[in-house]
Amino acid sequence: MSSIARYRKTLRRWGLSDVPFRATPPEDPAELSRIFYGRQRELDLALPALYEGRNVLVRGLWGVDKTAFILRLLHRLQQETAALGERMLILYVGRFPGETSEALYRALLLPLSETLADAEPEARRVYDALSGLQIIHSRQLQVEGKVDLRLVSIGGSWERGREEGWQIQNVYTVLLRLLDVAQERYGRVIVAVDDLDKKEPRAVQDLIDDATDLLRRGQGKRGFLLTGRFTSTLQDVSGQMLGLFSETITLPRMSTDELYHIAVNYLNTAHERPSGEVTPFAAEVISRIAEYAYHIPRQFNLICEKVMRRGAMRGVERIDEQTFLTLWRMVQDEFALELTPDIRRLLYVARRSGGLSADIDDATLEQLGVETFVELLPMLKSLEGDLLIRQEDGRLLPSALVPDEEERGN
Amino acid sequence: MRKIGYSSLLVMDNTFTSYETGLSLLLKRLGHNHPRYTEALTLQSRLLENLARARLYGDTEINRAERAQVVDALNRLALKALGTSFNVLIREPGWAALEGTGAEVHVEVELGAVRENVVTVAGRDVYESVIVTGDGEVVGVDHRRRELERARSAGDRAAEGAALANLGSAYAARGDFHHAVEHYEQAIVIARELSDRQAKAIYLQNLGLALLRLADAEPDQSETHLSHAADALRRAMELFDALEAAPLLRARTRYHLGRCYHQLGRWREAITLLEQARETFSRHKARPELAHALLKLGQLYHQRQDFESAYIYLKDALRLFRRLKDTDGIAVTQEALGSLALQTARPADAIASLQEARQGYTTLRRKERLRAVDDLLRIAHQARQPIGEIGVTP
Repeated sequence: MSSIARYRKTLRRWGLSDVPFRATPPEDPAELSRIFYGRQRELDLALPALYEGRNVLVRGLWGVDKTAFILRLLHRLQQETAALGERMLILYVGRFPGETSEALYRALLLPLSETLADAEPEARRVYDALSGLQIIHSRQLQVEGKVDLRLVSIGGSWERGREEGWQIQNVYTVLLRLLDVAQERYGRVIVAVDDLDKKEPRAVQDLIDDATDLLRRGQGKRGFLLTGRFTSTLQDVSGQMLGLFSETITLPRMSTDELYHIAVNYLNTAHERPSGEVTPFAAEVISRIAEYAYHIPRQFNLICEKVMRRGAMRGVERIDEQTFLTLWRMVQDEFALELTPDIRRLLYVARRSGGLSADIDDATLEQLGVETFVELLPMLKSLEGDLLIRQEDGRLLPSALVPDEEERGN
Repeated sequence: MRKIGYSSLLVMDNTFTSYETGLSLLLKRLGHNHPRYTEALTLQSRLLENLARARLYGDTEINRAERAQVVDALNRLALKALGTSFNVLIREPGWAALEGTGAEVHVEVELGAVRENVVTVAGRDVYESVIVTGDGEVVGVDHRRRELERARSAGDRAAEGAALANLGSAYAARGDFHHAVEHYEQAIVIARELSDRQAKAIYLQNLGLALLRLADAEPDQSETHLSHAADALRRAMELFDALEAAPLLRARTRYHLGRCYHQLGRWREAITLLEQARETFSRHKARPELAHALLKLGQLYHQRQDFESAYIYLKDALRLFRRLKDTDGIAVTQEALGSLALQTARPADAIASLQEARQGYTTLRRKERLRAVDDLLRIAHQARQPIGEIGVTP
């Protein structure tokens, strides 16, 4: 029997069409609503503030599913506002190139001009110019009653547009004008800007400083939802940021119970007969994975996906604790093979020293071949996420996917 | 006012004087047309700045480390160009006149202000300004002025430019920044006239540094002086970049321009320049400069309310100052960390940092900083008390 045939046979035996877990949640609001679980308190805080056109800041650790939360929130806002028979325009900007306020304004102009292009000549001109950029963007238009929800992610680079002679003079003025037009047409405009936390923190701070005027204007009619990086105590007190937002929502890690429900939801998207079970996983395995994932949804989904796929390839009946340990070791070994010696060393030292932070001692720095912690920052930034997990106290600990070589030796 | 043991000052100053006279001899032997003359001028400028700092604020481990680097570079240059090391030059007969004297005399010294107490050492008058602020009597203003006159009577414009810049440095070492600025400006005019871009860049940098110090000395004119300093340093930086000067030289100019922009409130530009300088200092293992760049960046991030970056940079600065055993650097960094901890509601950490800062400032007798630290410590202790005890009405 071929490998794929065996793989498919195991999935069928488990009653599944495929391995449903994904590290990143689906962008489609309907699909997302099938998986999303919890965060009720946070939704209850954010919904009325956004409905009233106030600014909201959403913060959380890397991988804590801020994007899923925002998309769910916007979908709920759309549904509930439409149910009241009111009008509203909701724009969502995911990834966009650049780290300046002007880059942000351009990114906002794209979905805004697209929405208004049919009735507003200036919006049409701006949209045509942006389309001429050949920027790869994925977008979905969702209309429910009188509430439009438009999602956009922009790849490529603004520079390319300049090379091709595309320019919009006074980007900010044009943006304000089009926002006024949208406000007139819809009454209220809500703009969500995601993934700001993935940009250079200092650049984002400059961006927010520059965009303060935009964020302060139109309060009550125009609300902004921005994402922030996970903030330690040191960043919690940033007065500049706090003054701009009516609600600051920090998404905590998820409990074992919440992650269990997410696993059920994911599995149900691929189950022939939906159930409340986590088959093929044993319940205690899900608890163990939650622990290995530091209770971070992205890590949790990643581990579930990898373990489940290896289990299907090996044709296991059920992923109980014993089977899990075998599969887990396979996953870790394969993961380690992808790491360069430098990265392995850094992760090894990070684990042995109880995590890397600015409070690192000289001996640890020496082990890493540097004199200052600042020298490590670019590398740490590139590894933060899948390989290094930031803790609430600022320490970076290696992901459980990275095998503990010393423990293995013992 | 503080009392300084004269014998230790004298030994320090004798050594410094030897350096200064050695520099003069090196430049004289090289001659203006030597291809490495400008490089020697650069090293001279760095060494004189270092000596002036040591005389004004006391010698530190950082200063000594930087001086060792410069002297090492001078040794290599002298060996290559003259076949003899700089260390040999400074020991040549006639140059180290004061070596071996050790009269125990105490003089009253007030930092930043020179008083005209005169003491007699080794048969010659040595003014307090010699001890405190520089080479006034040995290779000081008069000596430089004679150099300038010689250059002028010889009609040697390049030598005149160098002599003007040297005279500017002599004034700067005495704390007379107005005259320093005046002479650097004249030197720049000559360098421009001769199309000597390297000399012009060096004089511009010296001018920028003198203006920076003038801004400290004259707070009411601070902004004007800082703007002029920024202009001079920016032009120096552009010239050094165009000339592809040594990376460390370019990094130092960036560091000073970054400092200048910081004081002018141009924080983003300051951060960009200081980060560039930091990277170069780090790559070249220039630890004293690296420590200062990290400290400056930490202070900047703190002002920008980027507390996380501020903490990271200040911790690294502290780490390096500790390794360099630089009491002043440690005290200044701990004061910044203490202030940061206070602002981020960590009074216990603030107290620990501020107490170490206090200890350092006490050793260095920096009374004005001690007062500031005591104020912060008072606030930190209050912050640790339960609300009822500090009389806050609920």
